[in-house]
Amino acid sequence: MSNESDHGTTTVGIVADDSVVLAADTQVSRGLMNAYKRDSVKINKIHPRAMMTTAGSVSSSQSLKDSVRREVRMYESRRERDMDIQALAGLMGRLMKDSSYRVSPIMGGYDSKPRLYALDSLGSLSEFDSFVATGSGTRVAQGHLQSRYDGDLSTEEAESIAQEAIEICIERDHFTGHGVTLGVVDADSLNITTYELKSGVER
Amino acid sequence: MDKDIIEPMTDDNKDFYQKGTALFGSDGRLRQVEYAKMAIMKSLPVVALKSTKGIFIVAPNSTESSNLLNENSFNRIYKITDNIAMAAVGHISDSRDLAEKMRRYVSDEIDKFGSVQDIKSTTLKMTDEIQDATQSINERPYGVTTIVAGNDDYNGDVIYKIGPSGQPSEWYATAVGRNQEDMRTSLSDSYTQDLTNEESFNLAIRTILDNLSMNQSEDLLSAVKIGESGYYRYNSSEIRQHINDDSESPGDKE
Repeated sequence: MSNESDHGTTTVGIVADDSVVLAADTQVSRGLMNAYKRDSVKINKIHPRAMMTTAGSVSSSQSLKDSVRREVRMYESRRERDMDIQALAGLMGRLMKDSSYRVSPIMGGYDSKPRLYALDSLGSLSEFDSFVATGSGTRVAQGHLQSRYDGDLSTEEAESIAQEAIEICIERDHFTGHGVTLGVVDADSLNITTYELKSGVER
Repeated sequence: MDKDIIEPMTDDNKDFYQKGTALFGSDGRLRQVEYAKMAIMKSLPVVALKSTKGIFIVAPNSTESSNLLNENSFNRIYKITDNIAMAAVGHISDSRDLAEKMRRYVSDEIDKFGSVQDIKSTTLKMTDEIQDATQSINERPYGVTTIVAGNDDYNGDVIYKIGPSGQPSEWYATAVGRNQEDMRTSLSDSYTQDLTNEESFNLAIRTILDNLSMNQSEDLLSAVKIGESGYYRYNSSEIRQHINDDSESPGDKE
C-alpha cells in the first residue's frame, strides 16, 4: 500500500539566511480523477512565529491544525510566553504519533534562528537546515530544490525557488494544481499569501 | 458565626462532618461558604475597574517584604486567553485550579466556535463549577472570590465577581478582600463610567495603595489590562512610572 499521505499536494520548505519559506499548491484532489477544490490554502499559522503545510487527508490536516493551535494557546496562557519552535516541533511529532493523522506536514518557524521540520504520518520528526519537500510531487520538487539551493539565499531568492518548485509540480504531477501559496516567517513577521498561477495575481 | 451552636462530634455524626459537605447553619447560611467568605475578607485585595476603552485589574502580590523573598513569585492575576483574565482573593491555591478549568473551557469554546462567543456564558460555567463544590460530598467550597474580566463582541467590556457560593454579579468597578468596604467607598466616590485608561489605571492603583496603607512599593503590585489589543501585563517599571506620574499631579481626580 502506498503511503496515503503522499497523495495530493506538493509542499516545500527552504531555509534562507534569516527566514524560512514554505510553499504549497492549492488543489484538493478527490480520488484519482477529480480536482475537487482549486483554491485551498494549505499553509496555516499555528503559532505567532510558525506555520505548517499539510499534504494528505484534508480532514486530518484540519484536525491536526486545531489540536496544535489549542496546545500552543494553552501553553501561552499558562506561562504568558510563547512556546519555542523546537518544543512546537516535538509537540507535533507527539500528537501525530498518538493519533493517526494521515498527513505529511512541513513546519517552518523562527525563534533564535530559522527552523525547518518535516514529519510523516507516523510522527517521525526531522529537522532540516537546507530544504525539504513532502506530498505527491516530492521527487519532482526535490530535483528542482537540489539544483537551485546553494546554502546562502535571501528571502526573495528562497521565495522564487519555492514557487518554481510548486509550479513545476503543477505541470508534472497529477495531484498538484492550480495556484501557489507562499509563507514566509522571519524575526519580525509571518506572512501567508496565495497567488493565481496563470496571472500571478495575488488573491 | 461564633454564636452558632456546633454540635460536638460524637461517633454517630463524626463521619458526617468529615465528608466536608457545606452544611446549613441555624441562620440559614451555608457554614463552609461563610467560613470561606471570612478567609476572603482577610486576604490581600484585588481592584478591577472599567474605563471607556478597557478593564484594569490591580492586586498586591504579597504583604511580606524581605530581601530573602522574591515578591514576584506570587501571582493572583491569571491570563485565560487573549481577551479574558481572572483574578482571585482568598486561598490562592484554590484559584489556580479554577484558572486551569477556565482555560480548558475557553479553549474548548475556541475549538468549537473559533472564538469566545460570550464572556457571560464562560462566567456562568465557572459559577456552576464553584456552586457544585458546595453541594458535593467529599468536597469543600472554593475558598476564593473570583474576578472574571474580559471583552466580547456582544457585551463589550465586562467584569464579573463570583463568590464562594457561586453567585455571579456584574460590576463597573469593584474591590474585594481586606478593607473591601473602605475601598468600595473610595471607589464609588471617584469612579465614573467615562474615565480614560490613564485615569482608571491610576484610580485602581491608588485604591489599593491608600487602603492597605502599604508603602509605595510598586514592586509588590501586579497589574493587567484587557484593552483593545487584548491582554497586557504591566511590568514593575511601568507601574512605578504610573505611580510617579500620578503623585506629581495630585488633584486631577478627587
